[in-house]
Amino acid sequence: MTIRNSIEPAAYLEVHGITKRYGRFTALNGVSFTVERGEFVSVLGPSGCGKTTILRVVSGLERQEQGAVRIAGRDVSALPTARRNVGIVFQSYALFPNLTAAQNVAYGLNASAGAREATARRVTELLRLVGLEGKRSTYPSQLSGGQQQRVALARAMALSPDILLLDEPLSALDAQVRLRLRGEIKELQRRLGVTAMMVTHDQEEALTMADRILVMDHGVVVQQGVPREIYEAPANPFVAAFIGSMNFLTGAQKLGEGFFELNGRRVQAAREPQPLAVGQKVSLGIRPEDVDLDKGGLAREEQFQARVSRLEYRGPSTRVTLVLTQTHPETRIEADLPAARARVLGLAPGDAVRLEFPAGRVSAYAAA
Amino acid sequence: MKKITLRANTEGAPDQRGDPVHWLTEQRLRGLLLVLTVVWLGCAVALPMANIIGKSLHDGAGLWVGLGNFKTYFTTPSLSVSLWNSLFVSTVTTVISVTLGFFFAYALTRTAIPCKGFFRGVAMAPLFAPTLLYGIALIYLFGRKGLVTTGCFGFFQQTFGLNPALDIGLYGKVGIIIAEVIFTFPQVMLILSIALRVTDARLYEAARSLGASKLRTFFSVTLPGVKYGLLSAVFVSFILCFTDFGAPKVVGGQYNVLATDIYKQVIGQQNFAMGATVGVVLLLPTVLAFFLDRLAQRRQAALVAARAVPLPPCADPGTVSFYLAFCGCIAAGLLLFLGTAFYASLVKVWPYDLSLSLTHFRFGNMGGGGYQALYNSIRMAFYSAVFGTGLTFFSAYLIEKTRGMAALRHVAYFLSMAPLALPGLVIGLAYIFFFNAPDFSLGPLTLANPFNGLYATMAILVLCNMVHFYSVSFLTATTALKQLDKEFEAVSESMGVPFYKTFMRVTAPVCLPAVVEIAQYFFVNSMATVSAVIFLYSADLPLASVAVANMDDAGDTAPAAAMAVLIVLVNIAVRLGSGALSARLSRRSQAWMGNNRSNP
Repeated sequence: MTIRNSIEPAAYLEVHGITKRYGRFTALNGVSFTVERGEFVSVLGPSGCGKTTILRVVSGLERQEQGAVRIAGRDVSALPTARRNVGIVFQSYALFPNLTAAQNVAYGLNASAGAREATARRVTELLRLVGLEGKRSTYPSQLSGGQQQRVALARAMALSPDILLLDEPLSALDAQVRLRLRGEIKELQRRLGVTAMMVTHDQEEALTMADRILVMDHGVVVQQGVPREIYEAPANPFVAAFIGSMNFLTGAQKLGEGFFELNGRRVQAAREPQPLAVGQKVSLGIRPEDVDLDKGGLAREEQFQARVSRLEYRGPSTRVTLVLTQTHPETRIEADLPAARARVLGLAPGDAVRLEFPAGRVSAYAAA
Repeated sequence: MKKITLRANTEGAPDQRGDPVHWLTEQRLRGLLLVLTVVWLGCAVALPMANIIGKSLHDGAGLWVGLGNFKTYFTTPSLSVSLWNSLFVSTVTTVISVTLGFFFAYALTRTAIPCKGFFRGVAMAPLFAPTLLYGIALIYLFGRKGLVTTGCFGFFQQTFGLNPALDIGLYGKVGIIIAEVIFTFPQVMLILSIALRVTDARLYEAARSLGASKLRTFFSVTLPGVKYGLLSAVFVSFILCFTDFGAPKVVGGQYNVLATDIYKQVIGQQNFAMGATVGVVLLLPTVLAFFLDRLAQRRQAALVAARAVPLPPCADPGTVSFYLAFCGCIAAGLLLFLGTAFYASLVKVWPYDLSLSLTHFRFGNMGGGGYQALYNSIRMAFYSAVFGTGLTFFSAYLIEKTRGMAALRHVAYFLSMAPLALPGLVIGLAYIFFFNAPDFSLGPLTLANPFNGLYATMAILVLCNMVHFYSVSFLTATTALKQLDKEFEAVSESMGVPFYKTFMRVTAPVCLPAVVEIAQYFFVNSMATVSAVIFLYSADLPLASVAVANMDDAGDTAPAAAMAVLIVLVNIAVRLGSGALSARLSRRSQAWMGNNRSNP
């Protein structure tokens, strides 16, 4: 099988054209991607998008109908999980309740008499790595959620896997612990230099932890890139709306390269993920935090007049719901104001404001 | 920055992976074991059943008669009357048993009555005895020379000059119904307790805040919440009563029911074809009730909300004293029956010489087999418990914890549940037909029966019990297994640890309380059952429960009572033993089951 891409340098994990069906439901539809050695890749998507299935296919727990998986240059497509050399951390951790932390970590290591000392050394080393040396003989139920998580991580790393697979590793934890563990896992992965693939539905988790993000929807990868790229240049309205929030202004038209018309006003858009023809109907997308607004006064040519309809206080920021006054039907748009700016403006429902969409922050998508 | 080089270190700690590819992979081994499970259940359940149905379609000489036997059955009033008798007795029993069981379970789960442990224990007691015992106790209470019938042997007549003697006309449907109500009561009570325990206090708060009366709350919240449990209790009670053999055998008198008919046709008249036919007639309503019950249980499971708020038991003094009185009466009744059997087994000559002795426990020149029979029964129950537990638990594990192979797992699951629909009598009958046949003819082909050697051995008795009590044990095992994290297998697979190792090191130890429970269930039921083994035991392999039936048949009621009492004592001892074992296990596992979570 010659699936290796000859132009790029050999990737550590190569997933090529994976298709998986459950009865009539297609869970994965020709999924391909690569992961470099030592890279932390996060697969992000809503529930049912196929992200857990792709992890299970890579691990060998599910068998694909089509496509191939290569790990470290080895075609493992037909191999059982046991022979793929992967470490898995499950959402539930799946720690064995009747075994201590040390016994859990040692579970996959050779227990024969000759190897006993080496195994014991390895277990100590791993527990120290995750900061649980003192919890060797503690049972999982006596550990906190975060500690259980780390035991599961140590267990997954015990056999020095080629790839570490993390299935929603933080979703079972409290918000506070989750924040702290995000950094810990990332730090551990970087120190060990292990190649990792994490499945999550939490955009913040993906943005903060991953070197690269794959966004999935309906069994296909819809965009991949570094976190900044995914957030700032979403390839389509789905990605834009799933990661962060975005206003879509419908009823615009393309006038020329980078120029659009909305309600008789010119708007400059920086990005066109898919090429658009002049005269085509488009939606303009802008994130709430990018909307510039000022109180009262007359709107300049590139500004829009709007009325404040609702204010939602969110602590560090304030979400303002606005209605564009010159559009039919009325167009709603949301803007996030940092606390300081909100204090200066002191808005109240009913206030008239002027809006501006900064040229570099607008994306244009073909109208649905 | 210090980079930890784990990869280099690992050479010292060899892992278990990297053996050459073997033809027998995990998945293939699991597949093979599942196929074996299906084959074993096919041989033990499906083939004998096909055999009995086939038998019912042939006449005594082995000629095909189609539905001829059934036609004969339904057109012969003396035969078909027992079907209506069975339906009548079962319906009345079910109504009484479910009503009493509901209030008893309600008292235990929803009110703050004292001594709940005592009441629960007494209510469970009938499970330890063969149904014959209730028949015998009834004879001593309401029979011609019974305690009640004679007004306490004329004690009231002499002392108070009034005659409270009461003849309830025990022999016949009255006796059968009383005995069956006692027999079905524990099972009904258990099902309803489980259904009543699961409720949401918020529903009651909502009803109260909307101003609903107590009665309206009962009909709009309590009953709908347990309706599937109630249905399930109805079906189970009906099946148990419809297929029971012991009670009608002892107190049925001239009142024929299906279960005693099969026995008479097969043992009395050696009419195997008609025996098989009656067996199939017995099977049909049972199978129907079985499917309705499965349906009801599936719905009940879906009713349970994930985050229900527990309802505090009602502590209103009026309610508590009412239910306490009710439970007291039921418990007193049950103890009276057990006590009467114990007492009667110790009395020298009922009712003339009421002094106590152990004469009846000598079984001197009685038929039935005496202590040899008791020993055989214990042996049989022990083997059934050992092999039955191992087999049900491991096959439940294979079916529950294997990925893929959905079709194979469904077939295995269906075959594991099928015995629940099979009355013991029908299993026993199917087994003599199946294992006694020297050969099977398949069209022109004649195959020697490879299982013929099992006939009249301990093995066939154990096999029969294993199948008879298979489904309930299988369900217990499945429930326990479902509570384990479903990724245990995936985790060990990713570490290259074979599944049987994880089974031995994690799955089985964690499920040990359920395993003990299953073993105890197999033992107690195998000790007490009559229906499944009455066709299968042989003269050189007598059994205690059969001895009770035979001694009672011969008019030796007191030794029969003594033997039944011995069965109960053995079962209580086993129950206490397994209880102590469970307690020890749970103390040992407290280390890892504890809830003393420290905060991160």
